Amino acid sequence: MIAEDQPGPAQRRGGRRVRSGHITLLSLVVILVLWEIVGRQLPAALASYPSAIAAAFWQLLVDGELVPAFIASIRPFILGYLLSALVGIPMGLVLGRYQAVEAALGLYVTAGYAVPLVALVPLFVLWFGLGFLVKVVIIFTMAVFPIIINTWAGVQAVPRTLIEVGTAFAASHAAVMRKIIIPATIPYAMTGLRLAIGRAVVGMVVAEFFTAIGGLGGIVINAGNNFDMAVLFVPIIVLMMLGYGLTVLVGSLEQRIAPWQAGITGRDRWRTTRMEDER
Amino acid sequence: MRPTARPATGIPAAGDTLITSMGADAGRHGRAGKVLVHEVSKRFLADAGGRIDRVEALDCVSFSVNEGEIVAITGPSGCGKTTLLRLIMGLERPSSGQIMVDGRTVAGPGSDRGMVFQHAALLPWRTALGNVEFGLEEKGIPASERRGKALHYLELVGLTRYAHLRPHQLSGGMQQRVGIARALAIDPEVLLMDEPFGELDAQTRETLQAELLQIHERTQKTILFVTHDLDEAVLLADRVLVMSVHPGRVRDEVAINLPRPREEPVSLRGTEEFMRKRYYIWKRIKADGGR
Repeated sequence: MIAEDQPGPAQRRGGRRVRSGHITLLSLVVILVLWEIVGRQLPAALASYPSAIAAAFWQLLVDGELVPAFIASIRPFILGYLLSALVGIPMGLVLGRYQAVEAALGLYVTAGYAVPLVALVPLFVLWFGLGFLVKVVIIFTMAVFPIIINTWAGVQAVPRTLIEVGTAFAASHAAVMRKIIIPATIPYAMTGLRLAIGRAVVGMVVAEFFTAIGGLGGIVINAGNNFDMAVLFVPIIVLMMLGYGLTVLVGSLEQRIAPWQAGITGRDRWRTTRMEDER
Repeated sequence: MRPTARPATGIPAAGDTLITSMGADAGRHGRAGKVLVHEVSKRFLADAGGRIDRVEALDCVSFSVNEGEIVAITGPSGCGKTTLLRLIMGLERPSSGQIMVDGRTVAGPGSDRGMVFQHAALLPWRTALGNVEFGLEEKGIPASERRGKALHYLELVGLTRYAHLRPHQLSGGMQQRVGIARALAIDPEVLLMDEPFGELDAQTRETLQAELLQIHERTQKTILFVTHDLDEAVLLADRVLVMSVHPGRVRDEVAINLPRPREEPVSLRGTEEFMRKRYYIWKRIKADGGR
């Protein structure tokens, strides 16, 4: 009963959390103001500043350039990312559960995670052309490895006693997988999914740089060629917000799917204390 | 001292004949030997700093547990008492020898044995109720009956009000109560407990010991438990098996003749029989090189 033993720190933690929102907001304001001041001193061909970027953002939106570019980027992104989750999680489960599969394929997964996949883009272009398909392939390839690796590590981290509980109660192999290994692995798979978002965003931009120039990455390239720094920052900020938003989304999804995890790790400590007091 | 572990050289016949005679013996008493452990040995290969060592965890261990009996296994650490329990559960296979539960040779885990794990080992993503239901699901109890059965056993351990809480919201004692309910819910012939109260504070431990005695009175289950707590062994058990280390053997078997029901374990601790038995077991273990 962690919460009962240490009510002091648990309460302090709760208080700190409320204030941390204010701190984040303050930090954001300070950074934006500093950027505005410093950015205005620099030549417009080399740097920009928040108000100019906001104006460029509005202009791109009104011109009807931004939304189609965003849609062009997001379509292969969503497909590639979903495919990587659909392939990566089962692959990680199988790698972690079956030693033979691990012996046969573990090497390639580890190597695939370590290799700079950007180097493979010219090859992908030869194989899959310059269109939608190659973008999906690049995003998938970037995103799938962190998902596999984290799920794989998650299966290996399942406490042996929990699997033994399954064995002791004569659970079938499939039941052990479904009722013990998969739930125990969810937090790890979720971490993989979170890390994969960043890599998928990189994959998306790389794909737009190296294949048919278009989408948000296309705006970056064109703005760079025109030394239009304010416009160049618009897609970068959109990508940043996209990545951040999706990461938060996956995080809250984890809270929904694996609500026990926060309680175990203590992130949820103050709430647990309340529940103890109520009974 | 009544040594129950025979030296390997002293056995004339093949194991099978002996098993049959043991079974027949038990039958004649009208109380079938629920658990028969016959000349069980277990060897491990252990990595001792680059050198592979052959560890004799259990050497020719034999004993039996009668129906409705509570038997404690105790001994110095490393004597293989937990290994012995795992063998009976079917989580591991003996290197040689045979284990029978309710007349059937143990070839793996089964719902005729219910295991209570050392640290409760509850599934963190399931509620107390869900954890108790787990064993019922694997036993193939239909969904319509599961909830009622699980609630019944949660009531038996006094946790009805906390059925909806997850393990991390429960105290250590409550978690182990759920562990006990989970094992009992599948209605096993034998309850196997691996140092079930070892992690709990003294007061909680006493409460749970008393509760276990009450549960035993109500269910009359055969219980085999491992403990390093001699008070607990004497308090709960009808017989205490004292094991020795290197190799693991049952070196002594002590009958505890305290009357049942042992409703008030606290007052029992002061009785002469309790003190005498506890001291005797303690001496036997000390003689073996301490704990």
